[in-house]
Amino acid sequence: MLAFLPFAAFTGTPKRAPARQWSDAELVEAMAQGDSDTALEAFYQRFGGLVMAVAQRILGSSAEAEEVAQEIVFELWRRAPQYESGRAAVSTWVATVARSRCLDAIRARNRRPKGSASLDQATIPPAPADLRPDEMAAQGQRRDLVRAALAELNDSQREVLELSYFAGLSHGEIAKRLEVPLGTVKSRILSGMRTLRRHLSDIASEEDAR
Amino acid sequence: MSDRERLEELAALVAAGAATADEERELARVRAADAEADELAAEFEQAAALLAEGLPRAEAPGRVLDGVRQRIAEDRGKGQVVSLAQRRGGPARIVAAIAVAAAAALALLWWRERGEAERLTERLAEIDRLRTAAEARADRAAAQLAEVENEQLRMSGMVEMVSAPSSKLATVAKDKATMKVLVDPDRRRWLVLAFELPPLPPDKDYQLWFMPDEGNPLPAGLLEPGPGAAQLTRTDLPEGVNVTGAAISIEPAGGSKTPTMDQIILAGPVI
Repeated sequence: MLAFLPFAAFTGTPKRAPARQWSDAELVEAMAQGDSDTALEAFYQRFGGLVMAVAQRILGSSAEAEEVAQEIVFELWRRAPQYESGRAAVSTWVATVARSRCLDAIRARNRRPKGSASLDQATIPPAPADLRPDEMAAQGQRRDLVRAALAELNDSQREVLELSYFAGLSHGEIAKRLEVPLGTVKSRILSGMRTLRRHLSDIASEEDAR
Repeated sequence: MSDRERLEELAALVAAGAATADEERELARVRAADAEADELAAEFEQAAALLAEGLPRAEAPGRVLDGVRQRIAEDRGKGQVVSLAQRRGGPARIVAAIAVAAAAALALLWWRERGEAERLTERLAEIDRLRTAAEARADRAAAQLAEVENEQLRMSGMVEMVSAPSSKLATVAKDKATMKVLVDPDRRRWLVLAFELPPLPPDKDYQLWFMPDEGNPLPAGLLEPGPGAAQLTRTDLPEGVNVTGAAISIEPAGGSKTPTMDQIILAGPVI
């Protein structure tokens, strides 16, 4: 009887929550500590779709997007020790690095970006099947808030932001392409960005509630 | 336009990716000098990221993650950096785990003999919390040890270069920025210190370039923060190339294969 006691006693021992329940910042911290198994996998499950979406949007080719996505995720892994949770949300950090590397790939290959997916108008596909219902609900809530923010952009704001953010054009290049004054382009970018910025507090509140 | 309006315009343009290089540098200077401006610019960066988050999610293939893990393994295999993962199976941690398990087993028997099963369960939970804390301390200590070992390797290499009789010092300067290059011709190696470089946003890096007497510039590595706000790097010269000059440019984070020509901030002869 006594021989079985150690095993019985340990069944009630509290264990650390699985990585899929960690916050975004906790995942990055674990990656910074060198966890290339559990934490990296959970991070990729959570943000891999975002990385691929940005890569496909900017590069236009799934094969090239995969190649660059691997570079992006590796760079995020390498830079995890430098991530500061107080400066930016993890999603912001991921999107910024992903966009930057994709535009580098475009410049290195010396061609214009392709792809036709536009901001928020396309149907957002269902979340991956291996997420639990509560995880799917949480992601869905955030996506709804993001869509609400993007839906407030008018067509002219959306157009200039697509050209700058996804095609990497400067305001001068946009003005030339659209044949509108430079001041108009700057004004549309500023007003569009102010619109998105106004929604940040709603999105941050939703994240805090999770 | 007021200062605030100008700041918002700059922050919005940079975050949206529409700014010129001069505008990016202007915002970087303002951010470095003003915490409120830095916070405002960070908010615009978050707002811009919503454009990416609004895209329909794409499938994230498992082979991408496999490729990343392979690169991590290669990096660990060849680099001087000692990964924390290599320390996770250290003997001290194994001994500590065995000691804690042994203590837990003895406590279990004693408490059971006295018929106090509930107190024992609480005690085991406390021991598990202590174990987790001890593991965290061990990991932090291992990380610090790895940092010290890496720094020691780096510094011993620099002492070799500085004390070599054939080493020569060259200076390249423009405006307030300065680069000093210690050339070790025998080991075909440079030690580069760059001063007074303005701080960069998180998605940019300073990159060093070898300027050969013929052909295009060759990447020579990224500059890292060094002592006294200087940027520092040590780099080996490529084989079969006669390098006569050096340049520094601002590149996207992680560096580029060819320099962005309008982002070169320092360039000059070294040999």
